[in-house]
Amino acid sequence: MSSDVRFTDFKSDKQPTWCPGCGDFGTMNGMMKALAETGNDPDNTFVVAGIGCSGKIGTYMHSYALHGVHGRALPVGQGVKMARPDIEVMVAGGDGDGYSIGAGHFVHAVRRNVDMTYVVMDNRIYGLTKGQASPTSRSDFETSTTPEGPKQPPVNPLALALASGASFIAQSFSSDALRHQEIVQEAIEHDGFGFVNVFSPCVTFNDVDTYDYFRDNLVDLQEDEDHDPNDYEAAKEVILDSDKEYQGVMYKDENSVPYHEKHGVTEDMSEIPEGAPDDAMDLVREFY
Amino acid sequence: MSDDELIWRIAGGSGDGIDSTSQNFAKALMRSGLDVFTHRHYPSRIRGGHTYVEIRAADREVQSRGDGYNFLLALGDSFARNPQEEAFYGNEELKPLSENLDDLREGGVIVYDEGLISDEDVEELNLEERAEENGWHVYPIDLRGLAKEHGREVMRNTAGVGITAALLEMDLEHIEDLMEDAMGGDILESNLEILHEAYEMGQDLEFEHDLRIPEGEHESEQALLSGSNAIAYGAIDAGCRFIAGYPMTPWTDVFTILSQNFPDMGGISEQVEDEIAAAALAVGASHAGVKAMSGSSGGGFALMSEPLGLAEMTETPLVLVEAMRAGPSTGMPTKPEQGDLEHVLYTSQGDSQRVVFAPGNIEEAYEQTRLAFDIAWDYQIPVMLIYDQKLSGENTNVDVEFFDREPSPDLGSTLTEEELKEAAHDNSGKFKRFDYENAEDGVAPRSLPGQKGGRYLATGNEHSPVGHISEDPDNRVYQMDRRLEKLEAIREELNEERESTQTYFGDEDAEYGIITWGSSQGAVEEAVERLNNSGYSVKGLSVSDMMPFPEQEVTEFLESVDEAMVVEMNATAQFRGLLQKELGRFGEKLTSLLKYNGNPFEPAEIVEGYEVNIAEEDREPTAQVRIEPAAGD
Repeated sequence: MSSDVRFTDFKSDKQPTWCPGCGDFGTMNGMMKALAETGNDPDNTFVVAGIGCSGKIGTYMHSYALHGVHGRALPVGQGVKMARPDIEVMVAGGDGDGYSIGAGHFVHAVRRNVDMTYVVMDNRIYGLTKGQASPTSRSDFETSTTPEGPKQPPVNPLALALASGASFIAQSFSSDALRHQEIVQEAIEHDGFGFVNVFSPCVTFNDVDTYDYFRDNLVDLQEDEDHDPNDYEAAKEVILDSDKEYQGVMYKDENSVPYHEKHGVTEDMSEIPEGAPDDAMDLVREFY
Repeated sequence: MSDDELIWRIAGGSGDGIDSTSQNFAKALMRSGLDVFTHRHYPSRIRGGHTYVEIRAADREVQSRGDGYNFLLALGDSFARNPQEEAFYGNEELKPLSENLDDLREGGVIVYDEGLISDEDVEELNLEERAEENGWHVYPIDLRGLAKEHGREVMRNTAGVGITAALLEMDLEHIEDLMEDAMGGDILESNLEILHEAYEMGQDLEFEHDLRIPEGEHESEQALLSGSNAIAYGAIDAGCRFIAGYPMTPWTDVFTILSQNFPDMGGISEQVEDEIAAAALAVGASHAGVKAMSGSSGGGFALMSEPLGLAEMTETPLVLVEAMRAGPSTGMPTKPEQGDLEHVLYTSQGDSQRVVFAPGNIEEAYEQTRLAFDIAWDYQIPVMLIYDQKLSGENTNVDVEFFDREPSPDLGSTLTEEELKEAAHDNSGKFKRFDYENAEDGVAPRSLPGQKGGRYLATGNEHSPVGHISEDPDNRVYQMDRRLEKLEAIREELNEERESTQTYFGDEDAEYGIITWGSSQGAVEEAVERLNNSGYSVKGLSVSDMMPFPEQEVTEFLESVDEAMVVEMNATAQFRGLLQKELGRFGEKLTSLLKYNGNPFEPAEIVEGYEVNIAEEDREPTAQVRIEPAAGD
């Protein structure tokens, strides 16, 4: 880690092809700033992205990166971090990636509590495929494939995380740059799986969940001095509140023990611990 | 049929300890100096249901199950369904006896537990009559009563082993030693008591049979291993320290063995939510610089097609194992078949860019697993090992010295931080991870996270030398050709620098050929020997390299014979199809012998198949096999 890392060191020379005004610009800037601010070096950082607009982030950031298969960013990211606890791992994906095709992986990544950060760029729409409903779209949100709306309630990703035993649950808004950065920073610093759902508006296909909507309706938990993120019951109340949407850190388990500590994973896996059989011959002898 | 060998079949219910009892008896036979080979037949059920294990033991190498068997120990099924359910399940108590009579050789021995199998039931079987016809020698013994008297009912397996040993005039020493290793206290004492009691009871019987334990001697230290053991140990010696998986029969064995050993070795084993995640975690771990693997059986492997394709496109070193079972879909979960060849070769979108090996026996399973890791990390390509329920579960004795080899944990074509400084970078200083200009054999060396100046994007999209998404037509062709060039280089390395992974049997000058692949190798080997002993002129070839295909070796073999029969365990002759696709000729020379009833080939079925098929004897094969004629016939 070097102290003179600037957030622009995480930026590649590729110009994003996101639509002008897309929330993903702000989401990515906040991620890069948070990484730099927490003392991470791009050479020591691994970014895993899924598919869709959010998936392009691996191209626009310049760290070690893998742009994989739709919905499978989390398993790849966990594999990297489990094998190399010394590497900073950040996974980015969209709402379809995380809560639809990859929902199963999300639940189990949360349970596994690998020490990494998961940023979901939630725009409540499928953008790159030109505007179909996503698992977080409202039930009456009309799209090309759901002409009368999905007619099913949206997933509450925060509640899904809570029910899966999350150790860190937060939500931010890409346009509130400073707060977004702070929240991602806290997720990075958390010892365990730091999950941040980021409202990252789609200016082309979503005319409901817009910048204006979030600006007018989002309640910042920081302004609610009573909210203690270490209080599970308080977290539950905020997460399950169907009347309001919040930004901030909802829940943080102070006693979180990340995967590598629980499993005693050492950083150099090529070293065989003393006393262990170091090749097959020792093991084979047992079968006489 | 020669009875210089013992083929002991222990039959009972699932959950009755048939597996562990047979494992120890096989070890006792091995310790007495014999070569052994075991074959498991079991249902997909936890408690109850007919199951058996066959142990073939002889004073010579045995690489296959035999033709039928000559000693049946029929225990009852203690988890048999109650009589109300009999209409559906049949008489499960009787099955260990009734289901096994067809394969018993003439002059064979039957010991059955009359404590669990009733006289009336036996009468219904016409056992007496059939025994007379076939020269069988039947010894009804109350094994259950014996076990109950000296210990507990479940110990009737031990009583059965005691009777077996007495009837075979086999010394108890090794059986006792193995029991002492496996148990202690009261349980050991009761079991030993039962063993001795049964042994004495057996000695007092009036012997009507001729079968005795063969005599043999090993010159070196032996161990009884399964194909799953061999694959797991091959991975350990190749330096693999990461496995992620999801349980599925029969792949679970490899996953279990590594899960039990990795924690002691500083490695990681993780059971994950599904097979997509399993292979994707291994892709991640491989990117991080650890030798990683995953695997499954057919249905689970279907889910891996996404991460497999990702590994191909991102050139991620990776080893996946696929333990075939009978398909399609759930198929027959505990039965072997070689029906996933095409699935493994071609699954996932786009042109296949992978290596596939199919080991033919336990030694090959170990060696080809190591080879898989070597090639995967040297060439940055996913390598698959395809085997089946048969090779996975069968146990044979192997020289312990065979495993006396140096581990090979190195990461192949991975750069050190020093080497990375010298490697190609573009004008803006980006590492050209996918450089096609300087790639030797198509391989562009890779960096690892944490290394200075080695950052790059690995993407499942087509990409430029620095890893950026690119749809430039020239770049596309360069990158595709470079990736495919690796397969040619691998073929060349296998041909020239390594010992052939193909196995040949019989006389080089023989007129006719039998070709097989994977785990049918042992049965073919034995069949070729027998055919030659009966005066036919036959040689055999067992192919392990499925992709890249050993074109030259197979062509030479086929050119040297008049006709060849392809032996495989599936219904659509997948390997024969591969041969003809890869070689583009020989259609008129190739016929097929196919078996897909859930049981592996017996050597006699291949002998008969050859006689009917190639020697053109005018009759139908008697076994459940199918013959496919040559093109144009």
